[in-house]
Amino acid sequence: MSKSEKKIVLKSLDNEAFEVEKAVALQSQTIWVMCEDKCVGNEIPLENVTGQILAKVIDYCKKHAVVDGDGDESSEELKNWDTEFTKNMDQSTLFNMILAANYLNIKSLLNLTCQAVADKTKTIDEFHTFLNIENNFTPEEEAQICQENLWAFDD
Amino acid sequence: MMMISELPEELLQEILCRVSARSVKRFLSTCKRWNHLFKDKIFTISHFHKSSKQFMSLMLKERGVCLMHNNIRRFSPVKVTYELNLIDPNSCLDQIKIWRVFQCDGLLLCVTRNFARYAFGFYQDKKSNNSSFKISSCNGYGERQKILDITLDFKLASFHCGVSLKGKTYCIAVDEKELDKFLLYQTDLSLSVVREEKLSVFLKCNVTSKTEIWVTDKFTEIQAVFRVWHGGSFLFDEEKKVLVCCNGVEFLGKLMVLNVGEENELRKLDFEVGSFWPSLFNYVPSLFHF
Repeated sequence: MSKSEKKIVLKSLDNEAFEVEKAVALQSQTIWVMCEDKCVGNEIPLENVTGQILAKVIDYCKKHAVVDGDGDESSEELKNWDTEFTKNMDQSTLFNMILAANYLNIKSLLNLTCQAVADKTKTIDEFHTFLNIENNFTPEEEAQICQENLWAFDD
Repeated sequence: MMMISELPEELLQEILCRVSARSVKRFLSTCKRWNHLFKDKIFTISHFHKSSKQFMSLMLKERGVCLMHNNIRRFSPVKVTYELNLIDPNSCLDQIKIWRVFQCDGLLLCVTRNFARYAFGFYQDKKSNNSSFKISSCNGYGERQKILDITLDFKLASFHCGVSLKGKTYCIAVDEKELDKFLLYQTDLSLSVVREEKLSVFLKCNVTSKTEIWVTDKFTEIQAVFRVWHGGSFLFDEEKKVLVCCNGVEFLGKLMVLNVGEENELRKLDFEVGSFWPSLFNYVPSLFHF
């Protein structure tokens, strides 16, 4: 395989182009299928992902491609890198990353970003703020629901 | 600025799947839009596999099951709160004595009479792949009884009912060839499961007072050459290095809390439980229901 064939160009929604190793890009099942079907050339347009988010996704894929290739780098180190990767992301970026991971079909990244949101959303109030607060039960309905779903050792 | 509510339903479920069982239960109980997930089998299974497990320590006492909070730094290292009792449906006032408790995927089966034998687990239909929970009983008259056709070259210790880990049952057994050696020692020996991942063995030689705690995830390597004197139950927290146990004759009605320090020194704290032989076990709540 010549050098140019090993590289692939990913083009974001806002027309930002990223040249990456094919092995890096192929972690996305969506891109993998596109390449398999030969329905795209060397340049792949990704219409659902902005350049800012795509850059982060590529960072993730690069890290994971290197580690998978080496085989020696500890999974512990990779785990720490993952934690650092999502630690300072704001909620909005995380949601966009979830959408991108889902669209590009990168299971491990979807797992990581969903877990990060779940970890950052500690209280029920936070969930309510996020997930449609208007749709709540009345106190009577809530009491009935609680009665129907009694759990042992619940607070 | 993107809001979480802009995510499609299936991705929101992916996030909810990763929230701990107790939090997600509280959330589903308060919100109309999401309440249906309580009855959604696919969500329940997905949540069971993806959410981080919340381990709770439970203690079965004479009458009920209690929740234990362990904190070695506190003056009283074990705090027992919330007692779960079963009320006799025939008399409405009498509490039923719980003989043993078994758990499977977050469901607790309380066995109430010691002459009955129950098995608790789930059944998977090979055709539809659907799984459902089953309780089987054998009452000594051969009903629903299945005898396993295996030859043992060791003797199973009768006092211990075994522990269940990743679909396998582990019991304490004695090698009959080594029987002479056992007679030299009087040893407390029991099995426990650590965070549903590892198996732990507690050994205490009553002659030399030597205590050993073994934790392993290589299940075939465990071999014990001691005479079994008394079985009990214990819980070992590998992270906090704390062991709570009720083993041995001298701890009748008492709990022993051991702080396994840096140099493997055992710090012992006694704790009165007011129960004859409490049994200790881990419990992980889940969204599964009958």
